[in-house]
Amino acid sequence: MKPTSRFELPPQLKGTLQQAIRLEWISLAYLVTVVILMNLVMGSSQAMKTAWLEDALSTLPGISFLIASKYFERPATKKFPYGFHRTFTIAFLTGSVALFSIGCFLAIDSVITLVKMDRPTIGTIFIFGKQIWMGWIMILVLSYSAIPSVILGIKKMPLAKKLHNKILFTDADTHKADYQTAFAAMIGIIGVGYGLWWMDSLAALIISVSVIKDGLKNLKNAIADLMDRTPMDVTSEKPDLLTEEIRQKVLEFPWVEDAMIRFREQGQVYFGEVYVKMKADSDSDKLIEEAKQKLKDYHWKIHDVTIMPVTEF
Amino acid sequence: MMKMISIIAIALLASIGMSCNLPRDTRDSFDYAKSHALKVGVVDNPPFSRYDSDSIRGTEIKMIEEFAQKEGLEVEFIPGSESSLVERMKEAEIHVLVGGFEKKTVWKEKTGKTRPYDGKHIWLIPKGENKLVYKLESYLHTIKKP
Repeated sequence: MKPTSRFELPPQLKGTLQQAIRLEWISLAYLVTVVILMNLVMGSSQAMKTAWLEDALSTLPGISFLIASKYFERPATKKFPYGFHRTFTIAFLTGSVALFSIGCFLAIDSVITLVKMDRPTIGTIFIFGKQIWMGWIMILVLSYSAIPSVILGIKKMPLAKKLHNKILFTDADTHKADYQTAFAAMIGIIGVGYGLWWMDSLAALIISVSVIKDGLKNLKNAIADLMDRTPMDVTSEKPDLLTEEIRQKVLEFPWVEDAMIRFREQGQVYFGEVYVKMKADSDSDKLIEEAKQKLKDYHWKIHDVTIMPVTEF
Repeated sequence: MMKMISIIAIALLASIGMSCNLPRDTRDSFDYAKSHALKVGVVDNPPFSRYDSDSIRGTEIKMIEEFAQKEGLEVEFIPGSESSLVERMKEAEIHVLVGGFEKKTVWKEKTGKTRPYDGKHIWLIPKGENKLVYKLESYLHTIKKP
């Protein structure tokens, strides 16, 4: 058994990770206040209920990230020879399952409310002796649920890209899109104010469809990563060109005639094999060791690579 | 910057809301009460409300009458059983249901309700009649006991 080598982030990224961890703690504390406030004011509005659950769910990627960040750098063991990098991918999977299933629940719930023609009753509150319709308070809380969130999302995004961390990326992306949820819910509440009761459930339905969409997209990506799909960039939209660069690099070695590669993502880093056809008379043992080191030094994401001399592909 | 924009947006929305007299009812209950009469369901539950062949009285009946006077409404009392009155409330045929209901009433899934006027007792109203509940709570606040 040869466990994979101890992984350490390059020094310039260690600070980035610490920054991301700090931001996630801040988000978590903020989201807890949002969830409490939303729960206090949501009353019988379906849109508020949906937005509330969405906010509660949006803590999941952050929590998963914080948990996974405790594990991923642990040294590989005999039992886990590939190390613990995949904790991130597993966290990503669980988060997306939750997102997807709650999204479905919310969509069904909103449709039922629509069909039953259930009208939301939104009462009033007295603040310093002045009567205020709770709808206005809801809108206020909704904007509190959106604005800091968008700022946090914008701050997290570049960190996620630097760290090649998909769960952090998903989290940042969800935060950035939070204003859409809040906005939809606000329209719903204002609709109720105008006596258009169905706008509330309709807004809820729109929000839940967007939750389902996000959940499904993340679910697909998490499963694909666990299926050892070829490495993709952090948005999961296009293949990471790094692997092709590695192939070009290998082809540049003077002793290499031809080369094929195969890489997979393990959380933030890549594991893979390089198959090389060697030119005659090369001292394979020494050259391969050297080449391996060169590839690992080329980019921090290339964590574990096997170079295999072959006569045919 | 974003914060500024949103604060301005909210202030704007709020002022639109105030000027348009929001919230409105989904079935115009309050306007109906103004032009016709406020239909008040009454269950027999002394001392809050009680009815017999010749009179309807009770602490909550008194409150309803005071509310109606303040808003300039006629009142039509409709005595009945809880379940039949709640059923009629679904279609907003009854605007308020009184009779010592408590805030954790079993009917709270089927109807809307006002805030408690004494920390415990509420009135039932049709779901989604947000102007009506606004007016009622406005009144209930003025008589709220400490």
